[in-house]
Amino acid sequence: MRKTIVLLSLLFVSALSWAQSTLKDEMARVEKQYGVRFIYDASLNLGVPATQKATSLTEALSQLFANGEIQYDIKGSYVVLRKARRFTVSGTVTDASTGETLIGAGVFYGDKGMVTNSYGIYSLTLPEGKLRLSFSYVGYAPETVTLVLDKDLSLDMALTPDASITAAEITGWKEAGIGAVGLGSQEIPQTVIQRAPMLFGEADVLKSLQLLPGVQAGYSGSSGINIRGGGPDENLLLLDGIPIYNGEHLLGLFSVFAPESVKKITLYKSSFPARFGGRTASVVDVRMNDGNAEGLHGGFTVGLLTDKAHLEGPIGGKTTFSLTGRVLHTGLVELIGRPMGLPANYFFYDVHAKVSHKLSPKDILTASFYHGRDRFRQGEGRYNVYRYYDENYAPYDRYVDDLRTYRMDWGNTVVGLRWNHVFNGRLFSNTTLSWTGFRSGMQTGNGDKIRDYEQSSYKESDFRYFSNISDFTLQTNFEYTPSPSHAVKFGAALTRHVFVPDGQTLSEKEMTNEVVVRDTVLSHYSGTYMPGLEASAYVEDEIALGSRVTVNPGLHVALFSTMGKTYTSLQPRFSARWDVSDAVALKAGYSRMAQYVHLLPFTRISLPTDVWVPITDKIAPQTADQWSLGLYYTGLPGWDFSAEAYYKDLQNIVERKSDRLAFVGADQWENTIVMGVGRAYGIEWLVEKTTGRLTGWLSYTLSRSERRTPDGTIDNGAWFPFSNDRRHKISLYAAYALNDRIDFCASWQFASGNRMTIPTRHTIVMGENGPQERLYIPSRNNWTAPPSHRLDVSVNFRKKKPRGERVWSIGFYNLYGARNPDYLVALTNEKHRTNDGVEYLDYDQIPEGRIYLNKVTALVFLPSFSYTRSF
Amino acid sequence: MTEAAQLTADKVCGIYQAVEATWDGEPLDVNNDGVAKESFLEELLDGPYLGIQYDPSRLTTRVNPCYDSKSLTSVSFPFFKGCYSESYLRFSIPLYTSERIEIYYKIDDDGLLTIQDRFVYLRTAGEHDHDQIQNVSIKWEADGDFIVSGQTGFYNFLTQRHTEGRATFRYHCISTKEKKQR
Amino acid sequence: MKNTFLSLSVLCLAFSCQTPVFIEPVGPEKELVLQARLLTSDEQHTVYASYSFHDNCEPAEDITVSCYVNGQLVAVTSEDTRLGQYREAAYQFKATIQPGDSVRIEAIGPDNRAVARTKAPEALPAIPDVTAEELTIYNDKGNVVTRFRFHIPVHDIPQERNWYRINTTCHTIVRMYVSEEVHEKEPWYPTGWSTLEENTLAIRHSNTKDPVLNPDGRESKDSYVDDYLSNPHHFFTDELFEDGSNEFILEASPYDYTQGARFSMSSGIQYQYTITAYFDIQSLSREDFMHSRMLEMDHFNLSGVSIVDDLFSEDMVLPGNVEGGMGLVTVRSVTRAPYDFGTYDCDVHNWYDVYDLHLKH
Repeated sequence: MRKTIVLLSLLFVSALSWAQSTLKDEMARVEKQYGVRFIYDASLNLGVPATQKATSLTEALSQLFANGEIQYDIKGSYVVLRKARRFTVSGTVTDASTGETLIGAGVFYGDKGMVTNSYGIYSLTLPEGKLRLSFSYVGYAPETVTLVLDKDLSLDMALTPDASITAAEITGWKEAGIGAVGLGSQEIPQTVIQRAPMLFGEADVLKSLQLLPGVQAGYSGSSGINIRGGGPDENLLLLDGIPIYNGEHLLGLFSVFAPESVKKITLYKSSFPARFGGRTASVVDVRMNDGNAEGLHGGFTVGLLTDKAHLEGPIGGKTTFSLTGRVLHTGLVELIGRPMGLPANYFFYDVHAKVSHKLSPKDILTASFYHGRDRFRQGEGRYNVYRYYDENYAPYDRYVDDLRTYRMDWGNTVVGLRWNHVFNGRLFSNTTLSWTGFRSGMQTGNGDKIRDYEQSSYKESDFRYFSNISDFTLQTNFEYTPSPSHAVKFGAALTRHVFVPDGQTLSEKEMTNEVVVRDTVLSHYSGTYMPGLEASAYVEDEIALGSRVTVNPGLHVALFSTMGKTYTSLQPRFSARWDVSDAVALKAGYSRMAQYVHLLPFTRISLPTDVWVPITDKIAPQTADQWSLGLYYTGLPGWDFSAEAYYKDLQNIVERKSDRLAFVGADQWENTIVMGVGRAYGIEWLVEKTTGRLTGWLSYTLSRSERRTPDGTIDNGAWFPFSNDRRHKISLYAAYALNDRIDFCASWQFASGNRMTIPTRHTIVMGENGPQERLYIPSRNNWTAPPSHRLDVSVNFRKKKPRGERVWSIGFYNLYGARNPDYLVALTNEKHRTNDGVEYLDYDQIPEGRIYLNKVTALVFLPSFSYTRSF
Repeated sequence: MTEAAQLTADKVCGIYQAVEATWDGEPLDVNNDGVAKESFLEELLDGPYLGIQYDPSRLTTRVNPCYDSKSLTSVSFPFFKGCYSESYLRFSIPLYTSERIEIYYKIDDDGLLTIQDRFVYLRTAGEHDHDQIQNVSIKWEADGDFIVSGQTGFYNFLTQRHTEGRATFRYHCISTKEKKQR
Repeated sequence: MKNTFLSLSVLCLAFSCQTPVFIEPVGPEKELVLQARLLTSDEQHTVYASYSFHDNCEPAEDITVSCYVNGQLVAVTSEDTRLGQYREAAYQFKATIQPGDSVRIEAIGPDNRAVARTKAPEALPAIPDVTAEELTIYNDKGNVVTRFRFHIPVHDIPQERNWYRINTTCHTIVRMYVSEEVHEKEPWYPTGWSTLEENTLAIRHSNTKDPVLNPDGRESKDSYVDDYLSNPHHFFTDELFEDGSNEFILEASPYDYTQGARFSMSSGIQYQYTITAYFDIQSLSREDFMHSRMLEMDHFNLSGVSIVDDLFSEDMVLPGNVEGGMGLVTVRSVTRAPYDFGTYDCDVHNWYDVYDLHLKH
């Protein structure tokens, strides 16, 4: 049977080729028709299919040699043919008003093209001769340049912003989105981040990702994300290519990225390009602004909770800088907190700084710095006077000050030095040396100050628990475009990780009569030193096979060495795109990703003191294999339709045995977890309107993710739902620009509830000392919480000032006050007795002993406002 | 505790000693020395008591500090009654023993000290009626003294007879009341 | 730490609200729960049975429990001996169970029928002598105390994965000799030798010196709270043995060993007490081991964090093997290793010897 099919196809293909005329055939026809002779070198490939229907010689020649591979020269009655030389046109595409490079701008020639890379650089290798190049980008007026290509050319293009251009026709390559080869990726332009409805008057970068299909929020208000069945530690957060560990402030209410400094965010959920590695669920690639080259600009924003200031501009002719700072109004927090009796103080701050210097036309040196800190402090003091009597019954007073303090602080620091180098029009490289540090610490102190008529004493004990991560990375990336049908990327990276997750210090101080009697460190544990060396190399090539098919095969090879054991992983990546017609495209992809660090899964909500640990000699890296398939329709102008399906296979995932071991030290963490496998699959639909006054999208995701422990520790090895297995997700985002001055934005999100383990009945179990009563748990994650949904709206009032703009933003979070189950805990209905002997139940509607859930809705209805002035 | 209650508590706690004792009946000679002393207190203190002579500690008591105005605090005062047993009478050595009267008192928020009558009781009660102390009454005076009195009996060597009467003791605080300041 | 989280949560709760979510009960109204831990060293066994409801548990007083060993019916009982509990009924029966036997427990009630099938694991080979040494050490308060340190050599059953637990008890027999003269004065004591008291008590041993049972050398903080990492019930698996055998080190205080021998003495009577320590190595099935260790994890108490504070916790799914009902019925095969302290004589004049036990050499 198989042999028959093969034979038949061979016949068919040969028949086709036999039936189709080649260039040589056509040339023979032209020679006959117009009485000319072709002179050419034997190395020319004339066997390619060709047709022409022309009425003159020049027309015939231009039709036959339309692809430009062969140059023709009419010399009398001879037509000299030679292979066209190819030259490279390359350069940078920038914003004409700010000088900021544009990432993903389209540069195309005929029906071929490419987009600028993360540094705004493009490179096209084209045949010599006259040609027209078009440049376009969303929000900018397109430009076309006609030029004669007879040598390698450097062509920089500055595009003028034009807000009326809401969509651009970009064919050919795109990094992400419908136009890209890969699936499961999406770009968020700055306009969406800035305008998406805000919480506390704050636009937030990571929260705007939650509006996309396949992205689930951890709990409402939080910017932690769970993507396609992955946990919050499975997302690679890159700040200008440098990974950072903790992307959140204030338990996830804000992310560390200040929106003003963000140029572009790209989210990859599947078919990951080979240059990314290190996390299994997603890559969030955040690129920051370089700084306005045209003049000094900036702005400040005062919102309900935070103040932000931003300044950027040129320094001399070759350097630009960008500086952003953000801080929380602690005073405002206190105003709200004090009447509630909250003796706590919390603030955070962020500083982003970037300096970019053009060393030469081919070299740019950039230094970037990010530092953020969260600090939470709570103190409780009790002051009491006690009456004491000595042995002769003489009374005296003793004054006792009882102080308890808690302090938690955490934050990232990122320092990077990058060198961009353009070798020639085809080869571009960037090399980065960076350091990422994440530090979190907690301190509890107890102090007792006792004073009476004869002496005063002070005793204080202090416990500090801290954890540090320090990563040094050297990475280099090359982009090589040898021809229009190949875009090769390759590179390597080396990271030295040092994790010290559990340092502890216990110290005591004692003073008598104001004299320090003792001030000792009782115990100090500098922490388990966990180093790891991670090395990786990759190569990928985006190949255009003809005009309708593009494939991107790649290979990412990684190595992780820790505790004397080295793990290597070979991660093939592949994606393919077939343009079935001008409006319909089909994509398929496969990728394998590996992860070498874990965020210890202590509790169901992510806490800043959650600890990152590297894999060990007993715990292998987590891997994920993902297959995806997508169908796309762009036939209706201004609309994009897409449907993507995925299947993900996870190995070596880490599942917690039980939440009860929440506070075990990091050197014990292998005891608290069990290895498992997982699978996730789903389908995501997206309808997007990209042009007009009203833009936005509607997405629906149907997904399922489950896990199991093959060694039977959990549920005897049966499949159980992953805690963030939320079956349906609908998100609707709409932005309406009434005019230049007023725009509205609304988003409505609906998600099925997440999964929880709750007891269902009372039972008896056999303890070592005899039977005891207990609540019975049938299986892990046996219950689905009620769904959450909310409507957020915001409106911006803009006014152009002589210099700059001012914006008033007013927003409402959770407009109709949905009581979403942000936190649920299972309790039993208990009977209490008052002092007078009256008995009462927690709830009268249900019997005593009945299991019910207490639902906490964190943020019910929240208005917000902010004032921004930019210049 | 309120300020007023604290002041009273400071005032009432301390070491108390009997400084005065009166007998409302006929003059008593309880120690068989042939003399009924003018001062009943000296008469009592001068007597034999199970072989031990004068022992002022028999007449002191400690009132412990009270730290809250809701609870009752106890204090016990030495009292005396004649003690008889068959053998002692045969040898004509009637003695008196030091019994103790325990009371409970309370200081309210206004600083008023009230003695809970119903909690007055004797530490040891004798088997015979005439061994008990009757009609106990305790008062706390404004100047800080406790007046403890009760119906009791002694063997009067002058009349060679058991005599009933009322003995009253005044207990005065001998410890310092000065509040110690820094 | 707990307060910090509470405060942070309260901060978020500033704009929040709490409501109860009432859920429909899931599963049958009434289920029969069987719990039993049968030991091959016992003649008398107890099966606990309850009815599990959504809101509470009640003793199952109306069932008949049958025990089959290797397919043969060996005991039937319908008598609830209760043993003083109010949530579970206790059914006792006599049966001989050997290591390797298949055991089936059936419980039939008016509307429930549950069956549990289990197999007694292979027991450890007999244990060569347990040795003990007496140590004089400083305790953490700086006082000099005496400790007994026992060495229990154990050889594993090769070629298979096994799970074990060491259960430590102490058996005390107190005998007295009443002479004729004393009998006259106190006729309620029989003349000659008689047994005054015989008891078996569980003794808590410390395993901090044993690198297999307690690799970190942790002390259990509270005496009545099971601390998973300090392994107070001495669970172990043969995975931890280096070459198929191990010598376990357990310590206890002499005071613990004389608990069973405390009694008031009368003058003129001669007393004699005999104390034997029993180190029972119980061989468990994997389910039994996981079940017990999970329950210990349940009471885990570290750094003063209250285990009852359920703010961020969930419960675990415990293994079960009862068909038609709930619960776990297991058999543990016991290999007993005795240590004989010997016989001590005392009377009212040297009664302190009873408290001050020393090893005989």
